Amino acid sequence: MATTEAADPRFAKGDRPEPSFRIEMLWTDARYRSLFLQIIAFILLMLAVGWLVNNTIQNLGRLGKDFNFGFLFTEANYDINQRLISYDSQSPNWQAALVGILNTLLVAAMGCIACTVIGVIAGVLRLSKNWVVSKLMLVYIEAVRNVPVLLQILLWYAVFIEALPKPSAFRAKADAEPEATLWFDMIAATNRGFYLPRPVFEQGMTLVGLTVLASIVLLFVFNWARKNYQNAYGAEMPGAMIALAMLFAPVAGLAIVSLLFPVALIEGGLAQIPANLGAAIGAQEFALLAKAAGAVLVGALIGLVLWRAPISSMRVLILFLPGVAVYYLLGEPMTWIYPELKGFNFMAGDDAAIYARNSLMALWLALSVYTGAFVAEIVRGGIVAIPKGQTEAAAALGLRANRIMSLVILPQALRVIIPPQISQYLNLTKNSSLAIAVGYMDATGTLGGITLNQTGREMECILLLMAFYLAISLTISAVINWFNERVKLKER
Amino acid sequence: MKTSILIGTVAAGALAAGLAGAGTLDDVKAKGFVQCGVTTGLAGFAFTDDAGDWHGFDVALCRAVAGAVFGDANAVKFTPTTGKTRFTALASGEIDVLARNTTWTLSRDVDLGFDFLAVNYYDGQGFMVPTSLGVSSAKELDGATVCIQTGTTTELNLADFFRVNGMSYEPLPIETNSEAQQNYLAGACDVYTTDASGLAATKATFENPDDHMVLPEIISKEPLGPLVREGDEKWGDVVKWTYFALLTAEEYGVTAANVDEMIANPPNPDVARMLGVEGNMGEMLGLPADFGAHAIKAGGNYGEIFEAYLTPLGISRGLNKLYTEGGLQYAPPFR
Amino acid sequence: MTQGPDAEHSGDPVVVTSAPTATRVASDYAFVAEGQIPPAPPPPGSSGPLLWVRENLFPDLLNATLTLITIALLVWMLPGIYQWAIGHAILDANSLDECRQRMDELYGEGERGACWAIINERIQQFLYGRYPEELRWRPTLAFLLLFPAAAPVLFSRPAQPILVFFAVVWAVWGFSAWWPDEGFDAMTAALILGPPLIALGLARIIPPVRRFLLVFSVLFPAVAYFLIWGGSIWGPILVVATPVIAYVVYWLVERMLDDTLGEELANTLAMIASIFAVAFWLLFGVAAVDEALTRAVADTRIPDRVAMLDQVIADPEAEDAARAAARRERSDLLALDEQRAEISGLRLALEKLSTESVATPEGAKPVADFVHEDLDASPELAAASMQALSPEDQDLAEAYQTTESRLIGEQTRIWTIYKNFGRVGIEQVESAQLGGFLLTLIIGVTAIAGSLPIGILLALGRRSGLIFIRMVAVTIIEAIRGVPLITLLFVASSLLNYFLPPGTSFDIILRVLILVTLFASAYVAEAIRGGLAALPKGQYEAGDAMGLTYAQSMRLIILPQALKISIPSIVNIFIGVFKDSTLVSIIGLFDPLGVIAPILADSRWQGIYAETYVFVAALFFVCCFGMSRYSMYLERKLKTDHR
Repeated sequence: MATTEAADPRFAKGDRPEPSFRIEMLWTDARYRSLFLQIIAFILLMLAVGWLVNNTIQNLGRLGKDFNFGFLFTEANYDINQRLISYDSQSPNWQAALVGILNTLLVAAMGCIACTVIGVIAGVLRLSKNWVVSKLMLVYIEAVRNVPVLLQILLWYAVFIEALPKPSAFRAKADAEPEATLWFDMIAATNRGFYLPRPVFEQGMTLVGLTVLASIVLLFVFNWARKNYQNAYGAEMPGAMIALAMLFAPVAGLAIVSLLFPVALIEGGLAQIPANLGAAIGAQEFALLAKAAGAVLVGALIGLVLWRAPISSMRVLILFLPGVAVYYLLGEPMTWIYPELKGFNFMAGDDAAIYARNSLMALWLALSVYTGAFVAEIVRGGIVAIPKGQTEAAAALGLRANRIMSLVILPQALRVIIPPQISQYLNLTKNSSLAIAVGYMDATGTLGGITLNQTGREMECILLLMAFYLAISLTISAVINWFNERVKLKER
Repeated sequence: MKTSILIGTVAAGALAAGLAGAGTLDDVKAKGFVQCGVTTGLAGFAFTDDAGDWHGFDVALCRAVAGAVFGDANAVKFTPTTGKTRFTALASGEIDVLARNTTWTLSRDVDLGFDFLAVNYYDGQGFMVPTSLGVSSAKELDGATVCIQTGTTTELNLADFFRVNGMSYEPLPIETNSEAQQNYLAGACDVYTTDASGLAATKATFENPDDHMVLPEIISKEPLGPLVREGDEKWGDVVKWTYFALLTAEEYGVTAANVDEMIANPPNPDVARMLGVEGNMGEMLGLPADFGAHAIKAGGNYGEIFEAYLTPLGISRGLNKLYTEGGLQYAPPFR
Repeated sequence: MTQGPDAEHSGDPVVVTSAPTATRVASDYAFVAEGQIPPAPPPPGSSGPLLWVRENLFPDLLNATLTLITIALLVWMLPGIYQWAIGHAILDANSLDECRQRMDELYGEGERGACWAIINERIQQFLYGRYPEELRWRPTLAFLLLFPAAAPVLFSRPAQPILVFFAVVWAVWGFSAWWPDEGFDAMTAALILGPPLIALGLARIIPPVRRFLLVFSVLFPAVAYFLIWGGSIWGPILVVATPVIAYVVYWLVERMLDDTLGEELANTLAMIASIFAVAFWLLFGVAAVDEALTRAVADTRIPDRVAMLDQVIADPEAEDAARAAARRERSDLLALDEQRAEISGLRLALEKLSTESVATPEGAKPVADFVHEDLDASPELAAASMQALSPEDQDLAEAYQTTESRLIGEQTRIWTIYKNFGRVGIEQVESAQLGGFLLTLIIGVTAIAGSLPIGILLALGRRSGLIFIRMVAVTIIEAIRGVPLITLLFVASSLLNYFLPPGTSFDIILRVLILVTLFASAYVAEAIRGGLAALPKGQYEAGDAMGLTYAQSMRLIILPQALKISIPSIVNIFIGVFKDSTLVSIIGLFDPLGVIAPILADSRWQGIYAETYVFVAALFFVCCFGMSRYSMYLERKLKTDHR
C-alpha cells in the first residue's frame, strides 16, 4: 500500500499512465476518485433511505394505518389549562398544537431572560475577590450543573405543591383567621400557582404606552446623535442634556401629536391633564400637582444618575421615567383587581385572575437556575479571557473604571460570551420539552402528548414535533452564525 | 461500548423476526410464554408484591390465558405499559395481549387497528373529592381544578361533561396514578377523576379513606377489556374463550378448588365441554382439550378473581354481576 | 520583574563591620548606621488571618455588605438543612408513620427531619432496579472492571490512580461480599486479594501494561454484556472474534487477487470483502454458529439427561409427581427425533408447494410470493387479495400458509428445547429487569463508547472535501442536535419499530440505547471537529508531504492529536448523557428517577418525596462532580503537553 513511486515498476519502466480513461482510474486517479466515492455514497444513502421508507410503508400497511395529517383538522376534544390564544375542546388539533407551541415559546423566553440575569450575576460574583461570595457561587454552580435537570424540575414542583398552602387555606374560618394570607395583599401563592392582580386600564393608559414607545424611539435617535456629536467635536455630548431631553421630549412630542390628532390617538387622555391640574388647584388639593411635579423632578434626577451608571444597560431604565411621569400626571389611569378566593379558586373580580401555574413556575425556575449555572461559567470564562493588559492599557489611557468596562472589556468579552450563551438559550428551549414531567402543556404535552395518544398518529405527531424544535434551533444557529460573521468583519 | 455486541443481538433479533410472522398463537406456543401488557401499577388491577411478582384483576386474566395455552399459570411475562405506550407496544408485537383497563371505543377498535375481545369490567368515570370540600354532586364543580391522567378516554369525557353542563374547570394533566395521588392529596387539585374502580382502589390506599368521597355521578361508559392486534382471530379467540370459560365457571359453580371434581363428574354438558370432558372445543381453538380447566385453576373463576382483588378495595360487583344476578356479564355457550 | 517590599527585607540582617585598614570607622559619624536595622514586623492587620479576612471579606463597602448578607443567609439556612438532613433524621423505620413517631419520641413532638429509612430499605432498587438479587454481583463486577478498561482509553497517566482505586474498591467489596458468608478458604482469598494485587502490580509497571490493558478495553464490552445480561457465552465470544474473521477474509482475498489485479486494487477489494464479511458475520454468522454450538452441546447432554430421568423413573422412592414429570420430559426428549423428521417432512411439503403458482388479477404469481407479499398486509387488504383468487388457489395459498407456520412453529419449539439444554453460560437476565443506577451506567457507557466511532466518522465527514458527504454529515449532526433528547426517546419508544423490517422488534432498552448513542454521536462529532480544527494546518500538510494516504494521515497524525484535544469535551458530553439518561423515566423505564414513582406508590411510604429526590440528586452529583473534576484535570494535563 505504501509503495513509493520510485519503487513502482510502472515508473521504473518509464511509461506514463495512459491519458485515456480506464476503469481503475475511478479509485486511483484523484480526478475521478472524489466523484466516484460521492456517487457510491449517494447510492448507499438512497438505498438506506429507501429501505427505511419501504419498511415504514410495509409496517403501516400491516397495521392498516396511513400517513396523513388530516387529524390536525379534526376536533381535539380535550381541554388545555394554559392557553395564550383562544382554544376550547372543540378546536381542531392544529390549534391545540399551536397553544402548546406558544407555551413552549413562553417558558423559553421567560427562561432565557431569567437565566441570563442569574448567570451574569453568578458569573460576576464568582470572580469577586470576596471569598464567601465567590465560594457560595462555586457551590451553586457545581451543585446545579451536576444534577439532572429533570430531577430539578420535579424537585421544584414537589416543593411548590407541598410547601405552599392550598387555596382553601386562605378562606376565613368561622372561628379563626385564615391559615394563609396574600403576599402584600396582592399575590396569592398557592400550591396550584401564583394568582396575580389583574390590571384594569382606564382612559389615558394609551398615552402612557405611547410615551414609553416614544422614549424607546428617542433613545435610538439620541444614541445616533451622540455618536455624531462625538465624531464632530471629539468629546462626549453632555450627559445631562441627553437625560433631560430623554425625559421631556416624549412628553412634549406627545403634546404636539395630540394637538394635531386630538381624539383618535389619546382617548381623551390628554384632555385630562388640564382637568386634573385645574381640579388640583381649584380644590386646594396640591397632592396631584405635587405628585406630578415630584415625578418629573425625581425622574430627572434618577435619569442623570442612571446616565452615569457604570453598567450601560442601566440606562434602559431611563426609558420608563417619562412614562411614569405621564402616568402620574394623568391621575394613575390604571388600577388593579386583587385576587380573591371565589368558589374553588382565586378570581380577580368576575374574571379569572392572572395565574402563573406551578407547572410553569417550577419549569421556569428549574430551567433558569440550571441554565444560569452554565451561563455563569460562560460569563466568567469570557471575562477571564480578556488579558489583563487590556485593562491596564485602557487605564493608562486615562479611562475611568466604568468606561474601561463598557468600552474595552465588555465589547471583547461579549464576543467570547455571546455565541455559547445563545447555544445555552437553545439548550434551555430544548430542555423545556421536559415540561410533561410536571404537566405543563407545551408542544410536547399537546402535540406529542395528548393529541398523539388520542389520535394514535405517532409518526405524524413526532415528526411534526421534531420539525418544530428543529426549526427553532436552526433559527438560533442562524443567529449565532450571523453574530460570528458580524464580529469577524469588525475584527479586521 | 457494547455496540458490537448489540449488533449481534440485533442480528439475533432480526433472525427471530424472520421466524415470526405466523399467527400469534403459534408464536406464543413457540416461545413458551404469553407476553402480557399491564399497567405500571394500579391497586387491585395490576401490582407487584415484595418479590416482584405481578398480581391483580387484569393480571389474573393473563395468567388464565397462560393456563389455557400451556397448562401453567406462570408461563406468562408482564410488560408494564403507560397510557402512552400501551397501544404502540401491542401494535409492534412487543406484547401479545393488552389487559390494562382499556376502554373499548369505536376509534380504538376500528381506527387504531385492535380487536377488543370482551368486557371483563364494566366501569364508568367518576369523581373523588375531599369531604371537606362540601360538594355532593359533580354539577357543583364549576371552576374546580381537576387532576386527570393523560392519554386516557377520561380527559375527553371530562371535557364533554363540563362543556355540556356549561361549567368551566382547570385541568391538571398528570402522567401516572401515583403522581395524581400526590397532587390530589396535597390539594393541588380539588377533584380527582378516573374510572370509578380506579377511584375506589386509590381511595383504599389513602391514610384516611373516610376523608374522601366518590361523587354519585358516573359521567361515561367505560367498558374495559383485553385487546389484541386486529386480524389475528385465532389468538383473539383463545383469549376471548378463556375469559368466557372463567364466566361460565362462575355461572355453574366451578371453582379452582373443585375443578378436578367437576372434571370427574360434570354437572351439565356445557361444563363438560368447557372442561374438555366432552367434545373437541380445545382442538378447535388450537389448545389442549382441558384448556378451560387449566384456565380456572390459574386463579379461579371470574367471581373468585373479583373477590380476591377488587372486593378488598371496597368495589362492589354492580354491573359486573353475572346476568343471572342482574348484571351484564354473560358468556356465550360452549357448544 | 518588579521587586516587592519583601525582597528588600529578605536575608539575614548583616552587621557591617568596619574595615581594619580604615582609620575612621562608620561609628565615628553620627549619621551612619552601624548595622542594618532588623526588619520590623509588618504593621498590625497587614498579614495573617486578619489581613485575609479584610482583603477577602471586607475590602470595601459593597463587598462587606455582600459578605454580611451571605453569612446571614447561611446562618439562616444551614442549621435548618443540617437539622433536616442529619440532626433530626431517622435511618431505620418500616414506614413513614413509624418514622414520624420516632421523631416525636427522639426529638420532641412535631420535630421533623428526613426519613432516610426509605432509602435504607430501597437502596438496592435505586442501584439495580429489579435485577435478580442473587445475581447482583455480576453488574457490580462489570462496574468495577470498567475502571481498568477505561483507564488506557482515557489517558495513560491516570491509569495508575484508577488501578489503585480499582484495587481498593475490589478489596473492600470483596471482603463485604464474600468474607462473612463463605468463611476463609484459599479460593476466596485468591478472589479477594488476587485482582487488587495484580492491579497494584500493573500500576507499578505501567508502560508495558498499557498494551495489555488496551486489549482488555477492547474485550470489556463483551465481558460486561455477558456479565449483565448473561445467557449463552458463545455470542460474546463470537462477536469478539469478529476482527479475526475480518483479518482472515482480508488476507485470503488479498492473496488471491494480488497477482492478477495489482496491489492497490487487491487491497481495496480485500477491504471491501472483509467489511462485507464482518457485516454478514454479525448479521447471520454469529447467530448461526451460536445455534450450531448450542445444538452440539445439547446433543451431548440429552442422552445424559435421559439416563438421569430413567433413574428417577426407576427409583421406587421417587414421588409420583416427580416420576410423572420425569416421564413426560423423557418422552419429550425422545420425541425430538420424530420432530426432526416432521420438520424435514414439512420442509419437503413446503418446497413442493412453492413450485405452484396462483392466478391473481395481476397475473400468475408463485404461491410463496403471494403469501409473503399480498397476504402480509392489513387484514382488509389480505382478505381482499384472497377473495380475488379462485377457490382452488385459495386452498393452495392457505395450505402454503399453514404449512409454513407449522414448520416455523416446530423449528422454534425444537430450538427452544435445544436452547434450554445446550446453553453454556450463566443465567440470563432480561432487559426489563435492568433498572436503577445500573441502567444509567449502561446507557451512559454504551452511548459514549458507541458514539466515539460514529462521531469520528461524522466529524471527518463534516470536514471532508467531498461536498455530498459533507452535506450528509452536516444534516445528520444538525438534525440530531436540533431536537430535544425526549423526542428521540419517543422515537425509540414508538417509532423505531416502524423503520425496521416488518415483524422485527427488540426490547425497549436496546431501542433506547440506539437512539441515545445516535444523540451522543452528534455531540461527540462536534467535539472532535473542534479538536480537528484546533490542529495547526501544518500537521495536515506534513501528512500530505510525507505522501501518506488520507486514511494513513488521519490514523497516524491527525486523529491521535485531535482526539487527545477533544477528550475533555468528550468527558463533558459523557456527563451530559449520564444526566440526560434520567429522561428514560418519562418513557416508562426504571432508572433511578423512574423507580421513585413505584416506591412512592407504596402505601407505607405515602407522603414522602424529598428524601428520594435528594438521594438521587446526591447520587448523580457525586458521579458527575467527580467526572467533571477529572475532565478539568485532563484539560490541565493536556495543556502542558501542548505548551
